[in-house]
Amino acid sequence: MLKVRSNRFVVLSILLFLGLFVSESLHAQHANVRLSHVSIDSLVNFVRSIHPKTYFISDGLDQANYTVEAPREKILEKILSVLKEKGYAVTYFDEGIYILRTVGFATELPMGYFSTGEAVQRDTSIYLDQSGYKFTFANKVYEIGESNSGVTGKVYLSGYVTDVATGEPLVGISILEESTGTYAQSDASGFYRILLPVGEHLLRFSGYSLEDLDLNVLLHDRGTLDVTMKVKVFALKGAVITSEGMAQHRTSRMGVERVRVENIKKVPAVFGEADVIKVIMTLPGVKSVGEASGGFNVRGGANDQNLILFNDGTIYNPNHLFGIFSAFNTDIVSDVELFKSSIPAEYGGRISSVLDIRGREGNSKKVSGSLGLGVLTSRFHLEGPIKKEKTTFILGGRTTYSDWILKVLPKNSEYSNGTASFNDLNAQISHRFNQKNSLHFSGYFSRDKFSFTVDTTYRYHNANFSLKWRNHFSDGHSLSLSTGYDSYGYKVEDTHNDWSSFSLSSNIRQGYLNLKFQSLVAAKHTFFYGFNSTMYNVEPGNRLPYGDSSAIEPRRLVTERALETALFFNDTYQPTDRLSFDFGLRLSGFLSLNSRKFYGTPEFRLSGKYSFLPNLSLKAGFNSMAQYIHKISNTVAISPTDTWKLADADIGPQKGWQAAAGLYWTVFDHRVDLSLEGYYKMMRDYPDYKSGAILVMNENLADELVSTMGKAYGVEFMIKKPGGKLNGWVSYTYSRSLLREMEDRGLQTINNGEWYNAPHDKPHDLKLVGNYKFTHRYSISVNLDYSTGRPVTIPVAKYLYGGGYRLYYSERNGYRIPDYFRLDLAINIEPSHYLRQLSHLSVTFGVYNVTARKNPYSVFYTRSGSGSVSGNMLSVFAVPIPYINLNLKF
Amino acid sequence: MKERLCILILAFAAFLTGSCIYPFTPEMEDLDLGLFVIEGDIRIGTESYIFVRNTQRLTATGSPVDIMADVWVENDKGEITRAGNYRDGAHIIDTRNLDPRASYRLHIKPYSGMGYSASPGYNTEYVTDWLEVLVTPEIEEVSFRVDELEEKITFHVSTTNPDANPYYKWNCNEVWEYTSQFYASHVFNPNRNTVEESPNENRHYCWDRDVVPDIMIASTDALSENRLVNHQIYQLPFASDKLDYLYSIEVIQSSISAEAYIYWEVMLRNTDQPGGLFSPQPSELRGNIHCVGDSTKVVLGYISASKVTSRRIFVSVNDFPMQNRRENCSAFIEINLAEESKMRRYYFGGYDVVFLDEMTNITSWSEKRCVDCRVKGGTKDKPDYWPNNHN
Repeated sequence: MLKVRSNRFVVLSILLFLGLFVSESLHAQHANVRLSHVSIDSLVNFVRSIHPKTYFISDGLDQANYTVEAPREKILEKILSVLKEKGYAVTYFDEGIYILRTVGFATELPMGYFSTGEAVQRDTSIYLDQSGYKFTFANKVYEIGESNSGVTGKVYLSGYVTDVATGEPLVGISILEESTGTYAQSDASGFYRILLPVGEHLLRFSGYSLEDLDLNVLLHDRGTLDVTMKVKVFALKGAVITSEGMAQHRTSRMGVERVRVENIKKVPAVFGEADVIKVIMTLPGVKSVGEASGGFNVRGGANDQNLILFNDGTIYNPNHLFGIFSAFNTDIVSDVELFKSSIPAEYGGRISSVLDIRGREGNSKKVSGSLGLGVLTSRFHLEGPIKKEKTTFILGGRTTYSDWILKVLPKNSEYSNGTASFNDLNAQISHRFNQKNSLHFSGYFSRDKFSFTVDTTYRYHNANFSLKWRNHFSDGHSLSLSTGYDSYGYKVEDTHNDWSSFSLSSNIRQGYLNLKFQSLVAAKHTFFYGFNSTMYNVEPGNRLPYGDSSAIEPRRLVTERALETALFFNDTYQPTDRLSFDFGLRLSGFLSLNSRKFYGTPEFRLSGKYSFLPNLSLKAGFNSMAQYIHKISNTVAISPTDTWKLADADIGPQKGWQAAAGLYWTVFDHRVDLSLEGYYKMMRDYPDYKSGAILVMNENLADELVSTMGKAYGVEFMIKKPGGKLNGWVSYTYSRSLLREMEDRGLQTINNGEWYNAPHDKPHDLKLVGNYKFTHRYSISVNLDYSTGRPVTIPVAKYLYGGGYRLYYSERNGYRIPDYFRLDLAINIEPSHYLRQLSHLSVTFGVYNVTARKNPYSVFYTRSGSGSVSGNMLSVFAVPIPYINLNLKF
Repeated sequence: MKERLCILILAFAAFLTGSCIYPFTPEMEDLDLGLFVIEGDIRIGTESYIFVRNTQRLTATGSPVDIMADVWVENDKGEITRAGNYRDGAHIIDTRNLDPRASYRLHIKPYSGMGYSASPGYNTEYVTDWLEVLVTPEIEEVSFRVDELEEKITFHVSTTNPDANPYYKWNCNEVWEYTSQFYASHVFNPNRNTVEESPNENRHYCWDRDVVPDIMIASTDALSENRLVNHQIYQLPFASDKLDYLYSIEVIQSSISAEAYIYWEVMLRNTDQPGGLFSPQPSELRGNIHCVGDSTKVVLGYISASKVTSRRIFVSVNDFPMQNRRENCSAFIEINLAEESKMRRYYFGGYDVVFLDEMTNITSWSEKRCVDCRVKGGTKDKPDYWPNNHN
């Protein structure tokens, strides 16, 4: 946190005292009071019976039994001294007794001062948080501006919402003024801004599983109010946690899923490595072609139609180790937002979805870090202030010891020659110049290398650097300017024959500049507008001789260059509390510098909302998108040797649109969200390839291409409980995704020009992600995934040819492999919360695929020596895979 | 690749036993498509062998029935050369003296009334596209290498093509000589219940033949010269039965068109690589044979026209580290010559005599497969070019 400014309050959400009932024994003997083997709670209750204004926070960890005996008049004194011995700090302040673990608190308020006036305290019920550093006044009134300012009409209130423990910004916090229905949300830097009439307001801050924070604000003039909130470990009695679904009822956007990294870490994952993309796949409407396949499909779209952004940089290959892991280190990730239906106008370039992954800024208060040890990977991260409350850094890295394990395999096991390894490294630095300006740097590098035989090696890498400047230059306006460089490339080295040894590589490099203004000019209109500009430099293929005796002709395909620029504008219009609209327009233009060809597309991003009740809303939306870069691949999964191709004179952009409607209902005292969304989408000019197409080192790819159209539709139903002892979500989706070749090529036409199932078409889909906390320390997580088997093309006949049996395939994707079912369980043990402990060890035990179901990844045929053809299935994780994961925080 | 990843995962999970590949039979209609499959090439300079068959059900056991047809080659002047012989399913066309500068196409008209008389379409005619005769360069060398690490023998081809055509295909015929475990000096005569000295022809050395089923293709497209150096086409593990005594492989090289190359590459992908994590989706194969009068009818196969070259090499069992090839043969069973009924019982129970000790009149017996090499499917049909004298 930055230095305390004179015009802001530091407000804190409150940890209410949880009164656990414990029997106590009380004996009066010789005027002596004897408390025998009582719990800390009972002890404090006893103190409270003598001195009602006793404040104590139970952390539930003190399991000690206390025995205190003293004369009645001295018992209070005695108890307090016993507590001091046990490491509690006892502080007297304002007629109250404050009992805190380890640290006391300052009896002097770090008084929040308003821009001109001083706080008016109407009630002095004081609450404390565990750390004892901060405290706040609920029910008190925060006065902003001078009462005699004479300002009338509407004024801006703004500030930052941060996490109390780390000082990191909290993103996506809802700020709601109940009486006027005015609504705002904190942005990626935790900044919020709300336009309110002068006067008294009740502001409710809510989001994720944070405890709701209600603040009384008396506005005289514009001003700032910074708020700190605390992530609740589980719901305490009396604390209200409004589900994030309430935000659903305020905005017209649909199909937006935000997942906090805490939730990601709870979901059991294969080998125990918390995984951003695997968690995304537990959301309705998100599918994959199979385990360990990497990539994902959103609402029937292909896996290259998702824009994956990490701190503004585009990630072209989000996989490690054949897709078993994703390329993001969860230690440095703050939150993940998936846009599967309403895609804000600021995003573009892909026609299916946007996955926006934001890195953390790092702890602004103290240096901390973690070390993690998994079955296959280890990771570390370090974060902290460089300059206290001004500059923070976070650094993270991961590596694998899979190589080492492979070397341990028996020498003649034929796999001993295989290798597979990856690393990734992240660094982020944030600097806050002042309340209005901040600068963020992010760097990311990942690399993968693997080989199955000694003579072929595969490598690929992602590298991304970005710099972002955020400026809140006036009350109603702010801008963010970001620039960066992204690179993705692969290289294959094939050395199995000296004469024809070669290396094959492909690279994408892009530089970009994004500018976005946000303006809150009137209570009913919020505008954002700006532009994105990306300069692409794609090397489609370089084949070079490898070694001295290689006769490979060095060949480099012409580097493709293009400029993609888009202007965007969006008006969020809220005519009434119940009604809200987003009118978004994005004008995207793409100029191929090689072929001097220009494509321009107007893209519409429209959505509307009507709330029948504050907790029941109906929404509808329409989105259209264009995509100017295509993945060149004939595999169903993202493979490490996929190349990308820019649109040019011969290959145009892919286009798609989606219409969707949804009903959202928040029930059970704002604790549970129900949602029902339906969609229909179409896409055109998706590139598929002719049979036998040569995709590598091909200058004339357009000749190999067949344009395909796609349609997808579905209904998604979801029940979500974000907070509480039991939290998680259940979703059921019915959806279809179909493709059809757009041309007629006679006998060559794929599936005779009829609609056929897309490779990821899995109509029924049931997902459950749950977590139940028994205590602060122990919780159990469950993950269940059921879906219809994916379509595959299977042979319908065999024939003897060239000395062996060959297979004749018919209808594309006409058969389905058996249904998919998987259950994972994990037990999480959190560290004990003794503050004096320097490090905290958390342990997770889990089992992936508990039921050992042999889920087929694919079905294929092999011919035996006698010529008969037999069916086989490949099941990647066919056994229960136990894991243990240790995480040491310091 | 897929199996390897699987092992990787199992190893990581400390489950060193187990597999990722399981048998699986899709529940689906077992169709009999009965599509025509036409195999063979027009080989100018040698005889051309053309086979006509049908596709089979996936569950079918046994070889497909060879279909007789009227088969002829037509050149661009309309001259016809008809198949003159039919042997072992092959329609043999004498293409030895045809002009390699002409273009050709192949006609196939399956006879009706042969086997599947009721099947429709047997009077229809199939014809290939017009084909240029591609002249194949000589094979400079066929060599083998002993890979002791992976315990296999790999076969390599070197060739230089003065022409520009960069596409090659190889067909390989294998012949191998193998032995029975024991060299039998005597033979039991069941007619007379006597043990006699073996006739001239031994039952120890046999020859067997096979066609390499692999699709062996290569392209020099990416190379700076149209030349292949030690290009690997085939491999055999040391433990292969074919490497029992003396092995010979005839490599027939042909230049193929770009279109043919793609056809074979897709077939290779569809047959040998499906199901992997990064495997391409199977795609349909359309050859260069069409049904006359019905362009929607699917005919499988690709016919090339070329002047082929070939070369043969031998691999002896002494060329690579000795393998333990002992058959699982029981200890000799000793039967006195006088015990005729016992000898008969053993003979008809699958045993045969190995030798006779004339001093004691004791015969020693073992399983027939350990005595007579023909039990394993080979014959005494030694090829003319075979370098030894083991009849």
